[in-house]
Amino acid sequence: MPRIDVSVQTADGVCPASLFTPDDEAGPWPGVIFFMDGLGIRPVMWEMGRRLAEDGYAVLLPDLFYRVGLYPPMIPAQVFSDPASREELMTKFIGSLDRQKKIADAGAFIEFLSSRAEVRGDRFGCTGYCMGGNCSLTAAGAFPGRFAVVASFHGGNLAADKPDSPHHFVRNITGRVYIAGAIEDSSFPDEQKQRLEVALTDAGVEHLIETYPAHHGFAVHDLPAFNESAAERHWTALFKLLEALE
Amino acid sequence: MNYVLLTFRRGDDGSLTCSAPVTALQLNRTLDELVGEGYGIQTVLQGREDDDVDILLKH
Repeated sequence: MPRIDVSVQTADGVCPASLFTPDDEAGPWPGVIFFMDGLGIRPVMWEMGRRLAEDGYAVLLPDLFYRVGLYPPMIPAQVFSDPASREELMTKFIGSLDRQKKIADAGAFIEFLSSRAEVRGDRFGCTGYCMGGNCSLTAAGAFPGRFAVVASFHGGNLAADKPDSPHHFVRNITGRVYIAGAIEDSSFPDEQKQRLEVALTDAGVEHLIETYPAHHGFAVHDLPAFNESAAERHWTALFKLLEALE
Repeated sequence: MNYVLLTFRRGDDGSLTCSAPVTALQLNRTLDELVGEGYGIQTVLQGREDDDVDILLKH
């Protein structure tokens, strides 16, 4: 499975990224942006990027924490068990992104995919996990014509009671949206699911919001909440959604 | 090509003035001024709950 290290020029600097492509067929392939979760780039993100590419896509996995600088791969169990590490994660890393930066970065990723010979077409897919799910919906709202499919898995604060919450800005989305939430997820509780459902319905966006019988983090195998059956359900749903790109 | 999301405040005359810049140079500039300096309008993001307008510009 080819994976190449690439650099994406953004308004704020250079974002390191991986570009995955299938190895058993000739390209170019439909492009997909894979927004990492809040624990940063680490082996499980590469594994998931590879698996996605195996289904026939050119997958861009950017390090959204590039503004922080180089950092060692995080080990979720250590981060979650240490209050200082958890605080650093929330402030230094996740806190390095706001709505403006997410959107500016998404524009750079779109431009990058558009420039690559490995990528076919000018409408892409995007998917994201946890924090990345928020990035996915935020990007789709800002670049409505550039995403044919939009996915979020255990995404956080998709419909928060805040003026910059992504659900306020879904009106222009033209692609198909799939949201998979978790049970007992304080970052995306039932009230937010209902709020997002109303926002997408009122906007006339084709969408499906589901709640998997699993906890926040179910799709990512190095997280404590990883749930194998929910993770496989996520892959099935994602691959089905992405068929619209082909 | 870079993208920048700016918030604009609508004046009584309908003009839009940048109220939430990314760089200090954008503060209090009108949308027309920024377009005149080479910014292009990518997306007008509908959805703010106040009267301000979020506009995604490219330059």
